[in-house]
Amino acid sequence: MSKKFFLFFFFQILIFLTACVGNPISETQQSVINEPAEVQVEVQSTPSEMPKVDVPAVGGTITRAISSEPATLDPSGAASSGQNVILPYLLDMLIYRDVDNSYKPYLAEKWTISEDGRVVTFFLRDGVKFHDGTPLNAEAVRFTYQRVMQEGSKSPLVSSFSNIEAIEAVGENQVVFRLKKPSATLFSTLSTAYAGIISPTAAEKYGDSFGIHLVGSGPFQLESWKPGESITLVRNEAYSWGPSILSNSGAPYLERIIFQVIPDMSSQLAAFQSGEVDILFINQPAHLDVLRKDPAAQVVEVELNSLVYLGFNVQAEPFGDQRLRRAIAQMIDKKELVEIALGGVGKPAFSPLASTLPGYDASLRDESPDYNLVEAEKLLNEAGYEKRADGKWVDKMNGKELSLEILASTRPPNETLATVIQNQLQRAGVNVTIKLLESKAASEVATQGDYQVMLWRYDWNDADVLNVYLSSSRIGTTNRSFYSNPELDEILESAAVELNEEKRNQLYSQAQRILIQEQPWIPLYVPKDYLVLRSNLSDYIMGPMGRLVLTDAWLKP
Amino acid sequence: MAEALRKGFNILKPFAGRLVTVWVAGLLAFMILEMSPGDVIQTLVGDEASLEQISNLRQQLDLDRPLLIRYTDYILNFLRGDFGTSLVRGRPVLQLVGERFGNTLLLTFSSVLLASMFGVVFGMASAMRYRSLLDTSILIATTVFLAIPAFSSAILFVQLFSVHLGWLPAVGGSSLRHLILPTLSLSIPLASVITRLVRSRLIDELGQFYVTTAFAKGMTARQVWKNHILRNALTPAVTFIGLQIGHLLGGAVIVETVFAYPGVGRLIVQAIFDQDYPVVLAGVILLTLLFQMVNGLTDGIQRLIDPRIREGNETVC
Repeated sequence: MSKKFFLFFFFQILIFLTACVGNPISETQQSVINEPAEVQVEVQSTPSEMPKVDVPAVGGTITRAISSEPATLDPSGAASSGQNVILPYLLDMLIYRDVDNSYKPYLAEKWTISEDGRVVTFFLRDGVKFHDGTPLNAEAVRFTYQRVMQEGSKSPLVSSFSNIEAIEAVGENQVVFRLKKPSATLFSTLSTAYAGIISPTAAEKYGDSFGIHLVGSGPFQLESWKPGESITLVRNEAYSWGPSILSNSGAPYLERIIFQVIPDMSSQLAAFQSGEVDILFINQPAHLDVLRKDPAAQVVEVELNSLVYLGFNVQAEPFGDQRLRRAIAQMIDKKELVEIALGGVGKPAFSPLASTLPGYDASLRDESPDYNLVEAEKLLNEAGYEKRADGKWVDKMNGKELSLEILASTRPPNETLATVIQNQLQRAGVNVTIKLLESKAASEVATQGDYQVMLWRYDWNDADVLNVYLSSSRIGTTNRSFYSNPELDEILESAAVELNEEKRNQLYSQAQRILIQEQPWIPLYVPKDYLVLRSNLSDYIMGPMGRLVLTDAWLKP
Repeated sequence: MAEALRKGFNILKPFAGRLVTVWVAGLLAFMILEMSPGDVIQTLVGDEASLEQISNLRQQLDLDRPLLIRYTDYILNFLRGDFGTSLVRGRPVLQLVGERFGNTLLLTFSSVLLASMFGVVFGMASAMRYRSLLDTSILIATTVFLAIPAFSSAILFVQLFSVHLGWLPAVGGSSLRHLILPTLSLSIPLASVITRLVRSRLIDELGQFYVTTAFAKGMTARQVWKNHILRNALTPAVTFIGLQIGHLLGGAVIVETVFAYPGVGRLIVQAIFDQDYPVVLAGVILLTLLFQMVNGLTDGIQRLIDPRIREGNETVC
């Protein structure tokens, strides 16, 4: 009797455990979480439907998950994604970049540009004070940027600032930038969080530990930092100099923002569901499905200023041949790639400029080599290849099979992407091998040019990105394609100093046309993120470059 | 005189051995970091920096000097108690590690304590009721718990206790409540091993002639257990637990990651990715040092329990 009972008991345990552990982790979570939420899908409301008549209430704390702890908050220290997320709340910039990529007054009330474009003068607004009481004046701005330019600076702005000859403080509120040549990128540089103004007195007082005691003038100020765990900001009551496009130019309504460091995405999701986290970014389809059904969540799609592409090393034969590159581009079904590898979380791309960047030309769509195996075969025949009976492409000259190796970093979702591309190209008769390396190693191999094709991604906030990655002057550093085209170089150089927006866009149009024709890169897709917020958070603003502005935001009771 | 010297040497010998272990661990960490591709400059300025900025920084951080000189410098500073400054975070390494070291110690020792308590209790219960229903259930339960890796039980715990029941926080590490779930995930597999170890040792000992003799002499069961069986059976368990502390000190990274627990393990892993070698080295050296101290302590406890070791037979670990 007891034996029977025992066997029953044993199998019960076994069944219970296999049910829990047998599935992949994400599926387990999904099935566990979905059940209670499903009933309420109907009542979920979107932010636009929320009545806006309510009066914002002061107070409340929100917690935002970040995947990695910033190494330092000093904008001139080592840059990191965590730092980039937190800085805009702590610091104010001279100018504000709007979602339509136009620039609005912020700390600078207005600005003038000299005739030759080489002198830019910013006029600062009065009455701005840092969190430590120091007045924010022209001297503070000069100090901040001098610090960026000094030797040994780790600021990501260093290369953009190399065009600056001198920065002068004139009186209390005039800052003069003297440039070596006119710059079309100065404004986008100055609107990034890394160009936020810091308190000179605090920087001198704290010295090396300024990175954990950052003092700026932003809507929130640093309250505490628990190492490895969280960073807490508290509202700056004196704040009254927010950019005028916000409805609240005074102190923010929220009392505190806590940035909680949670490296694992599944843990971030769990923390949202348990109510410990109110804001997070996700990009995994499985997580998206879960949160879309959660009545406590509002989900906002964010297109990033980024592009994922296949870059050829044009020096590695036979990839110097433009026809071959185009043919390979036509063998890749980008729509299928995004569907299969990303669950649709991305937008197929054809231009080397991300569709969110100024200068992107949508009209060039028709000129781009679409998925078309017939065309691809024609091009390959022209380029001196023939299709063998077994469907493989071989070089007519030496009988060698057409094959390529894709280099990529191990970062997700690269492996999945590379595998789907491999599959598509092999279907079309091209052999593909995949080489995955840890991201630093991959980057080193790529810079040395020791590869054929790389699966890569850029995140950039200006059309100047083409100059950085594809101009011949950058061969040896960032031009890892070793692509050299004098015509393109000239266009990109004139675009960089062209201050007239219309003319500049025309130049970038030409550049895109050349690159679409020559395909040194096969643009694959523009990645998307999803911003998830607790549903009672109202009036947040999604700025450009995925920046979440919370000065207007408040918590509905 | 010579006798005294030899005696002194005999006392110091184990310490020397332990110090050499620490040094070798540090050296290995240094070499592996040097050999791995990429360097800390990439972490600092990203992939888009100009060659000039890179070479400036390399010079400023002393990375342009030969490996041997940098290593010698590091060791000399280290001996002076200067662990250096993090290349990426720009703060003293000792501060960075110190901020998190307490958390790691807390998690490690609470897990080991919990696991040992349950392990010994269940192991004893199992051995005392050998082949009973209780014994078999404990056997099965431990087999199952051993098969579940700590990170997957961690995820299950979060789902159950944080998301569904809302009893305990899913992430963070600032209060004792934050400690419960990570401790539980780490100690369950460990408790299972200890249970099995204690059980099999006890069953072995129970079958020995000296136990029969002791009972025959008229000793009470309590006396026999306390003075004979437990003493003999627990020695290997103590060794095992000591080794596990070393394993947990650095190996809890996955659990630290799932619970976003601010421990040293995550700091070191991040530093490895950043190639921030002062942080990696200091972390590795401190953890090895601590592990060696725990091992020394384990040896001491063994000596207390087992007179055979006390009287001169060297221990293996």
